[in-house]
This record gives sequence, structure tokens and C-alpha cells, in this order.
Amino acid sequence: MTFQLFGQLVRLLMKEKMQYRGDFLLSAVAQIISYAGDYIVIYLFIKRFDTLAGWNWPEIALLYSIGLFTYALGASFSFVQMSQLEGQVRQGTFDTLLIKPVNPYLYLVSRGFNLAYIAHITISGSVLVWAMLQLNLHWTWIQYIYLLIAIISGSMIHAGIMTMIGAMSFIWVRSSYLFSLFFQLKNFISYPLPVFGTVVQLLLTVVVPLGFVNFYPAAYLLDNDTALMPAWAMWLVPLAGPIVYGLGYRFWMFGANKYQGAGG
Amino acid sequence: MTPYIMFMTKSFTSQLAYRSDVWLRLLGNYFAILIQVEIWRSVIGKGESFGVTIDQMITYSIINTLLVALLLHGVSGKVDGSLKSGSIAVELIKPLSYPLYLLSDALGQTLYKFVFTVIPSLLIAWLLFGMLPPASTVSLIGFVAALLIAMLISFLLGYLVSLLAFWFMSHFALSWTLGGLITIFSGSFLPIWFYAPGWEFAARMLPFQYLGYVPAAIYLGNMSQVMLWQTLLIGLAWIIALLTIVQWLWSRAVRRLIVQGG
Repeated sequence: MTFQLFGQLVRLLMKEKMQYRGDFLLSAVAQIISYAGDYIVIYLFIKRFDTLAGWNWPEIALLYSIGLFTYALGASFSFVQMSQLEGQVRQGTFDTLLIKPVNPYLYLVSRGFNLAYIAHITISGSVLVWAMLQLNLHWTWIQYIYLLIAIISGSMIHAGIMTMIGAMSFIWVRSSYLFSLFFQLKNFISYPLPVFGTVVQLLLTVVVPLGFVNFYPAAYLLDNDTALMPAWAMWLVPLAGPIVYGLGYRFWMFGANKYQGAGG
Repeated sequence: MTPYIMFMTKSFTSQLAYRSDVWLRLLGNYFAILIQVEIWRSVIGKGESFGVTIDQMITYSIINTLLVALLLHGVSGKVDGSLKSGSIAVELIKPLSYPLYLLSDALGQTLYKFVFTVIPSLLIAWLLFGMLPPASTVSLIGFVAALLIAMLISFLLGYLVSLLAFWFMSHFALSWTLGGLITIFSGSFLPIWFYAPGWEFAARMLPFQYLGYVPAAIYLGNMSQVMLWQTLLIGLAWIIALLTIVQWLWSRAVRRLIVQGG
């Protein structure tokens, strides 16, 4: 699967979506309303209590937006693809993927590339820019590049975890409840980690490293309390994404190699 | 009445196939409650803030997290599925009331969740976080009434969305919008009394508060007796209003229905 082929695929997917232009736009607007709801509730909360664990409204908005933005980027390459894998394994349609002359993972991920996350990207991107303007940051170019790398790395963490969960379909045949558990865990990172106890902080740093998606990078960039981690750990942020994604890919390929079919 | 009870038992027993998911559901509820409890602890501390104690906020969070399992607006997804597959034609031929069939099917699933998720989660939450008892006998009665109102209003809202989908043909967009409105105005995370004035006014004017804030506030005894009965009566009025709208839309929607193959 080359970049050229992927570009071609995205063009075709665009055309497919634009066939039902009204529905696509309506769905995007509805998703924006829904996520605006989350922002509004947090805004109302901070308006009443001023700060949460020392973070004010624009800082929380920045934190939440990085989380949502990276989720959308990661999920466009993994969520629908991985959550449908369960059904494909059960029905036996997954076999057709294995006989194609391309890497099955890359084919699955790019064929399912999901343009619907444009709504998530739009709202989280806009709020992110708004929050950065509000915070009146005096950043050097290093910090902007760090933010960019953190966003790429965060997307890879999301995609890596979802890839691992998808690979569970090969082993357990069921994976949907792991997805709902993942979304429950993901709710933690909508708020600064120091709000939670040490166990949760360890869980989100070591076991399911969602803390590296938005909390650690945002805390370093804003000079806020970084909870468990020392200052040099900010350089772990760019590493976390590739490591998690690499592990996810290896695990997925391992599962696909063991795949024998589940009847169907 | 018997066929509806049969539908309910059928949907209850079909859920039993997913027993193994119970553990994950319990863990999910535990996480959801933990997040809210930690947030309230971090802003309220051990004492109280704006006249509300931490124990009250913990109880509020537990009630609202578990209340989600009882809400029925998910029915719109079922109607959407039948619309897309065309099986709605077969469902309409049956000598049954379609909305009552939907309600009994949803109630069966809710009953399953109540027995296997809500009750064990309640026990776990009560042991780990502590939960206040209802403020008084009146609160308890009012709370149970409010739960029934919550179930009916959520069902009617979901049904309304599925009927609107006959015109807009986009159930996805409608149900996400409904979800957003519930997030903002139900007060299920942030009680409405903490809202900024304009937002508070809007939330109190809309039916979504019955899906989160109202039952929990009644349980905690945060309303005077007069206000309690008033709130419940307005809830009933919402049910009647939604019923009227839904009936009217239904009579027009059926005429619009064209099944293409299926």
C-alpha cells in the first residue's frame, strides 16, 4: 500500500461520501452539537468552581481539545475498521482480506479510512486554536513543534490501543466490550490527571498510556503540575505513540497469523 | 396486554446470552462513578461548597450514572434498523400497537440491566464510595415517581427522534443531536443549581432535566415539598405533550412510509 494508492483511495472515499452530501453535512453538524455539549458542561463547571486541580477554563479547553483531536485522527484509521473486525471474523468475511496481494493491516486500515471524523477535527481544532489565543502564550518555535509532535504521537497511541483491541477479535472473537471499556478509560483524560488518585495516574501512565495523549504534553507546555512524572519525562511523549502503535501493529499481525476462521 | 409482557420477557431472556459482559459493565460503571467522585472531591474537598456536601455530590453522581441504564431513548436505533432493513413493514402488519411493542422490548432490556448491572453497581458504589439514604419518605416516593417519569420521557424522546427520521432520513444526525441536548440540559454530571443563570433557566424550561437532575435532586431532598409536586406535575405535562406530538407525527409518518424491497 503506497502513499499514491492511499491518496487515490481517499479521493474515491470523498466521492462516495459526497453522494449523500446533505446527510454527510447534517451528521457532521449533529456531531459538532454533541461535542459542543461536552465543552459547555465543562465550561459551566469551571465557571462555578474557577479551576479544576489548578487548571483554568482555557487550559482545560486545550487539554480536552488535544484529547479529542488526537482521538479523531487515530480513530479515522482504526475505530470503525477494528470494531467491525469482530463481525468479519465471526462471519468469515475476513478471509477475503488475506488473499489480497497487500499487507492485510494496511489494506484494512486505509480501505476503512473514515472521513466522518471531520466534525471532531473541526470542533476540537477550533477550540484548540481559541484556547491557545486566550492563554496568550509566549512560545518559541520549539514548543509549537513539540505540540505538533505530541498530537501525532497522541493519535498513534489512540490508534495503537484500538488496533490491539481489534486484534482481540482473532483470539476471543468478541471485542466490543473492550471498546466500551476503552471509552470509559478515555473519559479520564478529559480532566487533569492530578484530580485522580495515584492508582489511576499509574494506570493511565504505565498500563494504558492515555496520559501521554494530552495530559503530559499539555502540563509541560503550560508549566502545570505534572503529577507522577519528572520534568525530563516530557521527552517520553514523542516516543510513547510510536511504541504503542508499533506494539499494536505487531500484536495485530500476530493475531491475523493465528487466525483460523471462526466458522462463519 | 399479554403479548407485550411476552415481548418483554423475550427481550429480557435474549439479553441473558450476554451474561459474561456483566463484569465489564460493572467495571465501566465503577470508572464512571470514580471520575465524578474524584472531581467533586477535588473542588469540594471534605466539607461543603455552595451549600452542598461532598456526600450529597457522591450520591448525586451514583444515581445519575446508574440512571442511564434505565433511560429508553435508545429505541430510536431499533426503529432505524427496521426502517433501513425494511422489516418495519412486517412489524406494522402485526395486530399490535407498534409503540407499545417498542416500549415492551425496551423495558425487557432495561429490566435485564436493572437486575444485572444497576443493583450490583449500586452495592459496589455504596460499599466503596458511600451513599446517602433518601432524605425522607416523601423524597423516596417522589424519587420512584421521578424514575418512572424519566423512563417515559426518554422513551417518548427516542420515539420522537425515530419518527422525525421518517422525514429527515438521517437518524444518525437526529440521535446525536438528542444526545448533545441531553448532555447539556439533563444536569447528569453538573447539577442544574450550579449552572450559570441563563443556562439554568433554559435547563429548567426543557424536559431533559427529568433524565438526570430531577430524580437525583428529589432523592437528596433538595426541593421543598411544594416544588417537588410541582416538578412532578410538570413532568406529567411533558409526557402528555410529547404523547400528543408523537401520536400526530405517527399518523402522518405511516402514510409516508414506502418500503423498497427488504
